[in-house]
Amino acid sequence: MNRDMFSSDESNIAAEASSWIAQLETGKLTAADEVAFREWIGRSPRHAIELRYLANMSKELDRFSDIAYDAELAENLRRARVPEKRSRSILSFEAMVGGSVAAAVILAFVFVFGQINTQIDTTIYSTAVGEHREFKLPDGSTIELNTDSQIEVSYDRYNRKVRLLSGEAFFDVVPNADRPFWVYADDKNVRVVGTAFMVSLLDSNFELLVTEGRVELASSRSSTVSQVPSNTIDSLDQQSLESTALVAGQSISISDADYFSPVQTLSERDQRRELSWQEGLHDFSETSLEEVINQVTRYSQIRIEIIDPELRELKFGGVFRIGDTEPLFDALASAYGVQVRYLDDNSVTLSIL
Amino acid sequence: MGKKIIKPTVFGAFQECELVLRRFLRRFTSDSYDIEDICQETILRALEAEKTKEISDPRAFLFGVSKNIVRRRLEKKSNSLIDYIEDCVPKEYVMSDEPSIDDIVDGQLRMLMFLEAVKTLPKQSRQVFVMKKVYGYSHHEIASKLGISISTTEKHVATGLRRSNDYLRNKLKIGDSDPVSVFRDDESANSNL
Repeated sequence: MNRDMFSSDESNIAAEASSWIAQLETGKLTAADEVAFREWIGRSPRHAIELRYLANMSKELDRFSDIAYDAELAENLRRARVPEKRSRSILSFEAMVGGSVAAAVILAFVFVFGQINTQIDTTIYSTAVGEHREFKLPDGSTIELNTDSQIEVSYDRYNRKVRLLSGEAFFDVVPNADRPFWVYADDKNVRVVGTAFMVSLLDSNFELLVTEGRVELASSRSSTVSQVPSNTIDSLDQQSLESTALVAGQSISISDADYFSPVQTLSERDQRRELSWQEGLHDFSETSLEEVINQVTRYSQIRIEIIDPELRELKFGGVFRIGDTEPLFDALASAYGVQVRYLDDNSVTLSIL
Repeated sequence: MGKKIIKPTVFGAFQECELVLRRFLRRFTSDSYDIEDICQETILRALEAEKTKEISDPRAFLFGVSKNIVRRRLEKKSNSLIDYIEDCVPKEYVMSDEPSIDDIVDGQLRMLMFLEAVKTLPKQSRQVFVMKKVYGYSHHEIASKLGISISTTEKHVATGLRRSNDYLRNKLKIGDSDPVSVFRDDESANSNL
């Protein structure tokens, strides 16, 4: 633009202001342009008023994008449904001039998307209560499912995606930077390139533990609280989906009640304890009896009821084979003085002696 | 535990739509990280919504979520631009808020006037305007799609803005010497879109 132009009359001011706005909308100004821009505003309050006025008008003009949306949506959906053979590029804008009913004219625009050529292979893997299985995926990555777990695996050319519907899974991912590996659980996702980690989703309590490498965790809700104020042109393109990086040894637990919990660093011992299910073991240490019972009942059909409320907070420890409840009850009875009563084969009550 | 094909859910729809969605998003930003970011925000927000309500058409829902995210980003971008302008205004200027004519001409009518204005634009300016304001293309995408330079694109964008402005002022008989704040910094005008 011609910045040496005299802006003596109003229509020149509007023209110059429009040019500046167009330039600002492209992106960041160079340092020299920014100096010139500030100088231009500084020449007269009218310049500032006109700029502000036109910037707001430009913002309002973005509302046109809402009109085109419905027609585009239909087209997009058709594309998503039907794999396309040919790609074409731009549409005719001529219809713009013709019609008398404005909205209808704009609705007539249909953008034609390019070729969609994707083969998606989705499968569900699951384990029954008490079952523990390892699955090998097509790329060589492995998923180890703990008891009562369900995952959906979808591989296409560009992405490897797994959705943990419920339960607990340990992932050992073969590195491939061109084909990221995603794990979705609840309304969160974990992005990795190649690493090992565990994700669990039990009654909408989410847990992530990384044992090797680095993962990125993102959540739809974290982004709603991190609205960084932006008043410089530099921050125009800031990301709005916040993600957290976790490295080996770190874990995070997120529940609906406690959504913004911090990343924790676990000792080797604690990591092994978290993953003891891989060895078929319960590994309790200073664990409340309530939590112990929650864990044990995940792996079997047995129903265990704690009769005396004060027993729930009893701190319990020891290593037990998963699915074999007898030794655990023995320990409770002999070392902790808990009365264990069998009502039938599958239900037990615990009370204070 | 056999393999079985699953029925479409939000997640299944995401598998099907993702490439189309990415292509759709490419026009707003040529930055692949931005596209990835919007894609992921789309699926996570959709999954969150799915927890509390039945989504009858997951594909349409995904595009709707995505569109809203893009819309919010465009708005945020406009707002940062306005903030940036305010920031550049010398402190000694007193920028009072002039009365709005929102009460005289409602937003809907204003949009129709703008549309009339666009019809009077020269062909290429009109093309650029439609790509930018109707389809949300970035200046970079417009330049590469039309095979023109960024500065030519900016020239057309400026022309479109000026024409819209002139048209509205003439229609409303607002003197050039009296630029009022037709467009308030007011979210209510856009909130129900």
